[in-house]
Formats: sequence, structure tokens, C-alpha cells
Amino acid sequence: MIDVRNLTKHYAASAGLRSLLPGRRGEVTRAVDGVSFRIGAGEVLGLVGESGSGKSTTGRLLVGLETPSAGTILIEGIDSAAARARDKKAFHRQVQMIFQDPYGALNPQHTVEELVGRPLFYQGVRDRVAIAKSVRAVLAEVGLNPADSYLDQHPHQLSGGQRQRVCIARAIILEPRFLVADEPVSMLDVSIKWDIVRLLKRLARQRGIAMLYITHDLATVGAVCDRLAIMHRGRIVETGPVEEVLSAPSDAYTRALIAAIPSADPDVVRGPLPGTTQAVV
Amino acid sequence: MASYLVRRLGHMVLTLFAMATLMFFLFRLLPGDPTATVISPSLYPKAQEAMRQQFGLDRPLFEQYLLYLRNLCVLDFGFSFQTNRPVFEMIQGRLLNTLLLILPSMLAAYLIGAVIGAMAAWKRGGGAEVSVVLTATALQSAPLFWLSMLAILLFSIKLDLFPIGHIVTPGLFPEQDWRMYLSLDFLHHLALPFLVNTLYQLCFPLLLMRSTMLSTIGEDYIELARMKGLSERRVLFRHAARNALLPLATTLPMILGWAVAGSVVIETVFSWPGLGLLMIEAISRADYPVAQAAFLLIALLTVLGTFVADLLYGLLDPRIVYD
Amino acid sequence: MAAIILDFFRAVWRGPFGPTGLVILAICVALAVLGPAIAPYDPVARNYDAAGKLLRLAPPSWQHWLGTTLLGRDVFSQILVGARPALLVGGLTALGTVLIGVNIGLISGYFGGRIDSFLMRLTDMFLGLPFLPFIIIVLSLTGRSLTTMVIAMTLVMWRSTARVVRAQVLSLREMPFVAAARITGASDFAIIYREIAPNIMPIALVSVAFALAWAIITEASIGFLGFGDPSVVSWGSIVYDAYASQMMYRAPWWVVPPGIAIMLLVSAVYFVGRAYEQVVNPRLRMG
Repeated sequence: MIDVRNLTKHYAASAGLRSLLPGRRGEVTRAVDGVSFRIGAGEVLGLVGESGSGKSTTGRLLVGLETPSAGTILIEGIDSAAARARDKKAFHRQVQMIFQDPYGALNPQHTVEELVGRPLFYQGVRDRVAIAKSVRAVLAEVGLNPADSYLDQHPHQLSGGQRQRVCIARAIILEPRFLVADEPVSMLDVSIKWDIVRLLKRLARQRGIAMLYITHDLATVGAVCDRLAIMHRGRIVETGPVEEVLSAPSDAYTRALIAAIPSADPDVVRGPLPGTTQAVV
Repeated sequence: MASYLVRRLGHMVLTLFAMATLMFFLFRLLPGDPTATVISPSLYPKAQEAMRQQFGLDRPLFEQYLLYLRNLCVLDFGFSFQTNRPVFEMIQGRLLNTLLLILPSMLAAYLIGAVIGAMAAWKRGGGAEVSVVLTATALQSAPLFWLSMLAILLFSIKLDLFPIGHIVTPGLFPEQDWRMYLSLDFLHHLALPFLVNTLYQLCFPLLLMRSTMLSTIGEDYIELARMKGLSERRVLFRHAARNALLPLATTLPMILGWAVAGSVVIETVFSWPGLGLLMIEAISRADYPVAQAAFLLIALLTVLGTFVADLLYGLLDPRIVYD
Repeated sequence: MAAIILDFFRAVWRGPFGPTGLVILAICVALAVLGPAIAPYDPVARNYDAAGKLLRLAPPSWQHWLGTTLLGRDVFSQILVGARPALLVGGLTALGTVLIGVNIGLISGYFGGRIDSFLMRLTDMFLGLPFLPFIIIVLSLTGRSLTTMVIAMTLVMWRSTARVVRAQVLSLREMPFVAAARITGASDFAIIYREIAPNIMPIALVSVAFALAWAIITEASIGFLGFGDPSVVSWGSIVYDAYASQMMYRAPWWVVPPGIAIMLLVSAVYFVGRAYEQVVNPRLRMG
């Protein structure tokens, strides 16, 4: 269970000469401006917004890649800033992230076995046999079968979808309670998008992981998210169950976002468009 | 831009200061009496004592160091053990000799190297390119002192075209005055070391020119020029070469600085009375004040070279921001 | 690591120059190991003819393939023996250069900020040191030995490696895989040496090659200037002996072979280094 309260991240606007002028000193960019939400175990919250809306910064704040200017993050009721200060490694066991670019997120010099096993190593596990066993188990769980055939592969030998599965395997090997997925399918082909999306949903349900699914693409949210939070200029402008937000948006910005997509239902996009089937066959 | 210049100048002064400091402590590393590197042991004890006071060598190390820095600032390098003349007097003319040998030959090397490099890129893939690259690599791999000796062996001994060494025929200008630089005899002595150094130094600009040109050939604007129907030759020499000259030009001052440092070798083989030879001679005679001054002057030129290279790079490359 | 070395050979083996370089290098390494054992004569022993007369500046013959020196020493044996100091000094210097340069580049690029400014200022200072004169001064002040030579050369050579590596690290540290390692609890140390370092190995290998080439030429130049270890026969010192004897122009067999040996070895290093650079450096791949 994740409880985010009034999360805020400000950046100094410009360090140039203008900041020396009187009255300009306090000028800041509010990347994330008082964001609050809760995600329960096994629940997926979709955080939707355009680029620059602050959604990625929110994700990075939650996993500890950036430090908040204000606000609190409670993970299982424990303040994450305090938890991190007390035991950094233990904190990182709880919280993991999947990145947008599966190629850049995998060290090109490592094999799949090293890539997926590294988190355990960094957590202090030195038992090679145990690491190898866990690696095989999670690879099978994310659908890389047979696991053995992938162990010695390097990232450049894998397809985009396989790479993202490796990233997911790496993220779950520490058995986190909370997972941030930052646009996990935006760089993948349409044909594999849905497999990955369903995999994420299944993992959240089976493992009881609270998941924050960050995206700018409303088309995929229906397949994975339970609730949606719409973000605009650093603030959450609307939140609620997926169907509710998509069918009856209350905020003007949300309406504009929805109007920009052809259909929010994945099954419609996935199946052949009506009227074209005969022509193709 | 102005603040960038000032900051770079500041760095340069800092570098020179660090180098002077390094030298001070390095020369104090010598075993035995630390003052032996500053005061000639051949002097009478009375005179030694007087100098010890003059240079503050009876004071603590730190005060000596401050005094040393002050003396450097006013170009007071002390006195030569060998001649007991002020060191500054001895190194002045040597500096000019080194520059006369190195500067023209480096400029020639860059000009010729750029042209041959561009031609090699033009004739890419052919046997001519391969042999040019092979020859340049081989020349670059040969030690300069050895090339110089081969040149003497061939051109001075076998063919008797050039004198074996020295800057002018010994005894011709006993006063070593400025008129000797205007004599034909001087040019005759300069010719062989000039040729050898040029030949050796042109390999680097040649190979650099070739590889930058080859890498620009694939770029969009070159393709565009080609599509406009410009001839291959025009595209290469008008467009590709012009852009390849930029990175080449920025390396020149730095390589110049390094060539001055490397002049030690060529000056030794040709008995060319420059800074490098002075340093080597001074070291072998344990004339430490002269050796140190010669080194610091060479270092000054090297540092100046890197400084100008950085500035040029900043001026010519619009992507550099002077923040 | 093994994969990188395998990749290295695979990359160099393409094209005519890489393999040529590797073969010459292999021969030189073999000489460095076996040289003194297979040399036909003791390189510093005086040789006499049948009549017991010292073989002064004897031209090449069946007994002495490359003739003899002024003191009647066998030039061919000296060449064979000279491979060891060249490769030893060159190899150790290249190793030291890479160790210092890579670490400074990694730390400077990864941490940035004040650490970076300080280390880069330091690098700039070393960039201003005149190469050969500095080594000569150090050798003449602290004693002429191969160890001092290696240390002095390493001191002036790490600077370029550090610059190249730092530039590479600056872009690598922004890669998501670094963030991915950080959120699994990896320390800065682990990120630098387990995540980033493997990715700069190719660039580091290229700079090893160029450091090696420079070091071999410099070792020879120092030997020629008479600042080498007086107890070691090196290719540079052979030329120095010839030069100092004032007889070298009467005995080309004494002067020419050591220069050719240096030229072959250094060319081989350049060939291998450039062949590998072609593959590693994407900017050069066009050519």
C-alpha cells in the first residue's frame, strides 16, 4: 500500500544572471506540485499526462532517483525518506522501476543472467547457485521460456519485447512491494505492446504489487489500470476508476486528452478494423 | 567570451605556477646539500656563502620557495655554474634558435600534410592511398633521432649536400650576432633539420586530415552537394576539405608546443644550439640553474600551445558555449 | 572481460593491417621473452677474429649477421636483446597510464561537480608538461633506471586517457541502466566499476595501444639521449653508443637495424590500435 501526500519537486528556474535581479530569486519550476494519491496492494494506478506534465518526475521521486522538495511518501505505512536514510538497501528492495527505453536500461556489456541477477548481488547476496535459481524462476515468470536459452544472450541479441521482459524480470527479482512502470510499452511495436501490458497486470495481481503505470497513451490504460490519475502541469487534475474517467471526464483537460485518441478500448485497436477484413483476405 | 578568456588565462597561470613548484621540489630531491643545485660547488667558500645569503638558502624551505617564485616572476634564474653568467642571458638566444627551427617546419608540415591527406581521401580505396597511409605510419613510428641520423648519413656524408650540424659554420660568426640569421650559411645549415622535422611531423596532420575527410564524406551536406551535380573533386576540396581543416587547425598550437618539447632530440643530432640542446648539455654538466630555466621556458611554450589550442577550438567551434 | 578480449581479436583480424600488426607484435613479444637465450653472442662481449684481433666495426658477415660495433660487439645479438626493455618499459607504462587514466576519467566523469573540476584542472596541468624534457629532468635527478623511466613516463601519459574516458563516462552516466542499478541499491563504487567501466574498456584498449606506441618511441629517445639505464642494452642505447663513438657514419649496419626494429614494432602497435579503433569508434567507421 502506497500513500503519497502532497509530493512536490521544485527546480531553480535558471541559474543565469536574471536570478540575481531583485524579486527573481525565488523563481522556480514546479515540476511536481503537491501530488497526492494512494495505491493498494495488487492495484494498478495509471498516471496519465503529456510530456512535461511531471509524471516521469513523480515516478523518479517515488523510487528515490530524485529527492522531493516537500511532501511524504508512505510505503506500507513507513515514511520512505526515513526508511531510505535508515537502510538504503532495504528501501530499494521494496521499490523498483521499469524504464521507457528497454535498450538503454540494459547494460550492453552484460548477459541476461548478469542483468537479472545483479540486483540480488547489489543487495549483498553472494550465493551464485541461489542467484542462478532465482534468475531462472523470474525469467520463466515473465515469459522468457526456456529460461536457459536466454541466460548467455546480450541485450543486442534480443528483440524489443524480450528486452522489456528482461527489465521486468530484473525489477521483480527483489520481490518489491511497489513498482513504477515509466511508459514501459511506448517504444515497443503495437503487436507486443499488449502482451507486455497484460504481463504487468498479471504480476501486480499475482504478487500483490502496488503499481504506478505512467503513460501518455490512453489507449493502453484500459487493459492494465484499475484507476486513473490525470496529471497536468505538475498537478493531478482528475482521478477515479478507469471507465468512469474515460466515459465521463469531469475536467476539461481530460476531455481534450480523450478526444485526441481514436479509441480507448484495446480490443478494438487490436482486432481488424471493421470493413477491411474482406479486402485483406 | 571575455570571462572565458580570463578564466582560461587564470588556469594557465595556475598551471605554470604548479610546474614551477614541481621543479622547485624536484630539484631539492637531489641527494646531498640542497643548495648544490643553486650554487656552484666550484666557487670559493666565501663566494658560496655570499650567494647563499643572496638566494636566501640559509632560510627555511618555505621562504626559499617564496623567494624562488619571486625571482621567477622577474625572470631571475640565477647564475650558470659553468660560465657564472646570468642564466637569462644564456637562454635568450637559444629560444630564438629553437623557434627558428621548429615554427617554419611545423607550418610547412601542416600545409603539406593537409594537402596530401586530402588527396589520399580523394583517391580512397586505391593503391595510392594505401601506400601513403603505410608510409606515413612507418615514418610516424620511426624515432626522430634515427631519421635525422639517416638523413645526415645520406645527404651530408654520401652526397655532401648539407653540413653535418651546427647553426652556422663554426668560427664564421664569432660574436653570434643577429647578422648570422640573415646569412646563406645559416639557411644551408637549417635546410636538413628543417626537412627531416617537416617530413616527420607531417604524418599526424596527414592521417588526421584523411580520416576527418573520410568521415565527413558520408554526411548530409556532402550528399546534398553531390546531388546538386557538383563534381566529386569540387565536393571534396570545396566542402569536405574546408570542414576537415577546422579540427586540424585547432590541433596545430598544441602539436607546436609538443614539437618544441620534442626538439630536444633533433637539436641533439644536429648540434643545433637551441633550448633543448642547452638543457641536455646543462644536465650532463650538472649546471642545474641553466637546466631548470631551459625546462621552464620549454614548459611555458608547451602550456602556451595548449592554451591557444583551447581558445582556437572555442572560437572555431560554434557548439562551444562560453559559460 | 574475456568477451571484450575476444571481440578485440575478432575486430583486429579483419583487413590486412590488423593481422600484420598482430604477427609483428607476437614476434617482438617472443623476442622479449627468448631474446637473451637465442642471441648467438653475448651482446656486450668483445668478439675477436681467428687471429685474435678485435673485430672493430666489422661489416655484416656469416658470423656476425649485422656486423660489429666499435668495441667488437655483435649488433644482431644486441637487437635481439633490445626487444625486452622496449616492450617491458612500453608495456608497463601503457598499463600504468591506463590504470591511472581510466580511474581518473571514471571518477571525474561520474561524480562531476567539484571533483570533476579539480581532476580536470590537474589533467590540464599535466597536459602542459613538456613530455621528453620532463622525463629527462626526472631521470637525471633521481637516477637512471627502467623503474624511474616507467614512473616518469606514466606521470606524463595518463592525461590523454583520462580525458577520453571522462568524455565517454559523461554520456554513459545518463543512461537508464545506471539509474536501474542505483535503484537496486548499488553503491557509487559498484556503479562505476561494475556498470560503467565495462563500457569504456574498448576506448581504454585503444588508448593502451597509443600509449604503448608513444612509450616505445620515448624509451628509445631517452636511450639515445644517454639517459637510459646504463646496464641495459636497448635499441635506443645501441644508436646512442654509435652516435657517441663518432663512428656511426662509417658503420651504417650499426645504426640502421635498431631504428628499423623500433619502426616495425611501433608500426605494428599503430596497425592493431587503428584497426580496433575503426570498429570501436562509430565516428570513424565510415572510413
